[in-house]
Formats: sequence, structure tokens, C-alpha cells
Amino acid sequence: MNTREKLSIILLSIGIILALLPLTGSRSFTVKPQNLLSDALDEKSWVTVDQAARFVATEDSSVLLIDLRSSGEFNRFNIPGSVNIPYDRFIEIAPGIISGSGNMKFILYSNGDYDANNAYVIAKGLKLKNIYVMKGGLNEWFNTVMNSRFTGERISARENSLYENRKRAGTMFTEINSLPDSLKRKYYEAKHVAAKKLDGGCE
Amino acid sequence: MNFIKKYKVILLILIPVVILVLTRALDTNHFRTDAKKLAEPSFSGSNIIIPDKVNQLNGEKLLIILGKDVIKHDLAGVVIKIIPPDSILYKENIRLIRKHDGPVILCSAENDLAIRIWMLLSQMGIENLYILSDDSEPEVLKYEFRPDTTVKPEL
Amino acid sequence: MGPIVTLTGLPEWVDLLFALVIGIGFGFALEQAGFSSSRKLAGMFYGYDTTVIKVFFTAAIVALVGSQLLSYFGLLDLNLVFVNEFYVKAAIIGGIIMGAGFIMGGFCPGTGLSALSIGKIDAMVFAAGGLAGAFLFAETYPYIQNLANGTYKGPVKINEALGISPGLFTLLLIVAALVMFWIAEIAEKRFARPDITDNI
Repeated sequence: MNTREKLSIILLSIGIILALLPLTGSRSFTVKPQNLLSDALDEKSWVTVDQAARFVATEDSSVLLIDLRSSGEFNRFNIPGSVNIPYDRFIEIAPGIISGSGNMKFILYSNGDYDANNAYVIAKGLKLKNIYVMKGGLNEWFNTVMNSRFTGERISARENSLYENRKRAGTMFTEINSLPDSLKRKYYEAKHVAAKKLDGGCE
Repeated sequence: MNFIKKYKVILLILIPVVILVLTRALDTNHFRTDAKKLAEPSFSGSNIIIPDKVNQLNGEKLLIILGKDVIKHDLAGVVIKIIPPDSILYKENIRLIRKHDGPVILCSAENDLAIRIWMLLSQMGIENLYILSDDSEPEVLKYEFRPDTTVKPEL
Repeated sequence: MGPIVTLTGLPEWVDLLFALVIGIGFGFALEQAGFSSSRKLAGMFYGYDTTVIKVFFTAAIVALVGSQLLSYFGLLDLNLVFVNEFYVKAAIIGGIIMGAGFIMGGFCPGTGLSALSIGKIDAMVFAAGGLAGAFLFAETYPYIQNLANGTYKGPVKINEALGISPGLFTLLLIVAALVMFWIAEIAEKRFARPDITDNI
């Protein structure tokens, strides 16, 4: 038997094995279930809306907020500096944006807690790093940051800084989202993170 | 012996591939392929069930309480099992869930936890799995954004 | 999990270094396989030497099999690997021009550079022709823009277009390749010419 016959048999056999495997071409989780469970139970994976508000108010460039709502909802208003990855397309889009971004932190949010926590497990299952969930989602953001009022008589230093932070982030939220659509779009374009592509080709 | 000698190269390559593929395929402690398809119920929210609707599910219902919290709902005809979240992947627990013929409902004091465990188990190929929630539409915004019309863009 | 370049977010110069090392390896392999000879390359069109088709197709199916296996074991995320975008008309017309250039020049772009690096004069003329073509394309781009960007189908994969699993497609391609190799062998016997590799 000569080399090319041997090579043919090897390739053909592996081809048959591949044809029998449940390959789909779409992504699958690549971590061990036990590791994913520890990630899912990780207390540090949640950030409060106050923490998120601080990132917004200080325009922290090492943090990127990811809005998981539909693009229609995102275009109406969103937390300043966030990018939109609709939850139902998260599996296809997120790895291209998140992987390979060094020490950047990604905070997921949706209206409630549901989509963001699902997306968190998906991201961790796909081995993406530095993922966090904004606890309570936009409902909590509105409740805490946007509707923040100080009603007491005396304010402690800590309360004051918290209140100032909420006020600053809340004002930014209102101002940017009140801009006319054309200017808003310009703002988003400037913030847009393009998915990195590998250049390809042959010969 | 002659056979092995003749096909040495072929066997040297094929056998390791077959062994690796078989170990991967027969290992139940890993995730199934196609994450998107497995996550589908979470896109529409069809995996969320409110206490009133639990009885409408067909088959024997198994309610898994993640954590120590006592269940506050009065659910009749439901088998209840308390499992601490960090031991959900123990062999006996996974076997219990896989073997259970009928819907399995996850419940936790903090909804976040049940959501995360739901995704984890679904990706392992467990179907007919639900999350018990008081809110049937957790992704609805309960507030309204009022734009400030006095805002002038900086030019 | 791969691919390495996208996942690790390496600086651009490291990406380019990878490209350089892989490029040198590729060029070296081409030269070693005798692909710097335009007679060998043109042989594919006349049927007397089908090495080119065999080598490139073998490379393609080996890469396909390898990447599918790595993806199955969770070591490579194929969704992050670049897929060439498909412009139907541009692909057909560009294919015809490329094919004509190949048979007239006796090289494809990669083998042309490989031959250039060992100092072949015809390859130098070929490379100059290639550069002239690129210049012409850039200068006439406004006129052919619609053709170049029209009938865009996105980064389609054949198995998705056919609605079959990547594994089954891999098997079909292997079978097709083996059949083609067999036909190529027959053609080589039929259109045989005296060995040319000794005097080049």
C-alpha cells in the first residue's frame, strides 16, 4: 500500500467520523460544568447599579456596558457608553467583541435580571473573561439612580458621595438620551466597538 | 501481526482520534453542542412559570429549591427537593433530574441563581426545565424614560 | 481556545510576526514542492502534471478535518475564523481574470512570489503584471464599484447553503477530492510529457 492510499484511507475514515458527530457549526459551551457552576455562584460577578453609575459618571474606559435589549429599545435610550448586543443574538456576536480585549470589564444589563444572568452563563460557558451582571437591570437603575432623591435633614459624607454619583450618572443618562436621533447616533458610532476580524485569503 | 505492520501508520493516527472522539461523546459530564438551540426557551421566556400555572404542566412535577429557604408558595401535587446550589452537579442530583419523568422546576430565594442554574442544566441537555417566578414578565421595564426637551447639544 | 490571534488580543506587530513566519513557511513549502516552476503549474491545465490540484486540495481537506476536530474538542471556535465574503458577480468575473492570468503567466500569486524569491525572470515579469493589475483596479474602481460590491451574499458557508452538517460536508468534500485525484492520475498518464523537472 503506498502513501497516498494510506492518506486517503485516513482522511476518509476521519471524514466518516466527522459526518457522524453532532457538529452544527454553531457555538457550544467549552468549559467543564463544575467550573461553570462555580462561575455561576460567584458573588463577585454582580455589580450594583451604584457601581455601574460610578463607571458611567467617571467615563471609565476600562469598562464597557453591554445592553442586551432589542435594538429598538436600545435606540430609544440606554446607559451612556453602552453597546447593544440583543440577547437572542448574544451567542453569535459577543465572542467577537469580548474575546481578546485584554483587561476590559464587561457589564451586562437588560430591563430585569433575566436576560443578563442568562447571558452571563453563556459568556462564561464560552470562556469569555471579565463578565459582570448589573444587578436588577434597568428597573433597578431607574429605581435607584434616576429616581434618587435625598429626603433627610443631615447627610453623611458617604451618603453625599453616593448621591452625587447617582445624580451625575442620572443627568448624563437624561442628557444623552434626550439628544436628537442624529446626534445620538453620532455618539454611539464614536463608542461603537467593532468586532475584530481575522483577515483571511489564500495563495 | 502482519496486519498491524501493514497498516501501522493508519492505525497510529486513527486509533487516537477514535479514542478521543469516543471519550468526548460518551462523557455525560460535559455540555451538548449548539448552545443557541439549547438556550432557546430563554429567548422567549417560555421557561418561566408563575406559581398559579404550575398545575397546568403535564406530568409529575419536581420542584427543586436551591438553597435552604423554605418555599413560600402552596403548591399541591409537587415533589419538593431541597438541593444547595453548589451541589446541584453531584451525580445523585443530576441523575435525579435526568431520570425524572415530567417537568423540573427550579426555585431560589434570589431569582438570579435559578436563572443561572437553568442555563447551566439546559446546556447539559436537560429539557422540560422551568424557573419558578412570581413575575411572568421579568424583562419588562416598569419605568418610563422622560426626555429632557431643554437639553441643547454641545456644538 | 483558538484562534490565537483574536482571542489573546496581541499587539498588531505580533500578528504581523505570525504572518511573516507562516508566510515564510508557506513560501518554502511551495518552492520545495516545485511550485516555483511555471511549467509544473501550467501542467494542471493541460493535464500532464496535476500536482498543484492534488497539493492544494489535500491541504484544504487536511485543514478542514483538523479544524473540525479541534472545534469538536472545544479547542477552536470556528465562528471566530474569518470567512471570505461572497460577491457573486465579482467572484465569477474575478475568477475568470485570475484563471486567465494563471494560465498565461504560469503562476498563481503565491507561487509567483515564491518563484520571484529564487530569482526567476518570468516571475519578476509576472509580479510586475500583478502590480499593474492592482494599480489598474484601484484607478478604475469608481467605474466598476457597482460590479465589485454588487450581489453581496455575506460570509456564506457551503454546508449552510446546502443545509447539511459541517461534518457531512467534510466527508463529501473528501470523497470529491479523492475522485478528483483519481481522475487527475488518469489524465497524467494520458497527457504524459517527458519529465521536465530535471531541466528547470
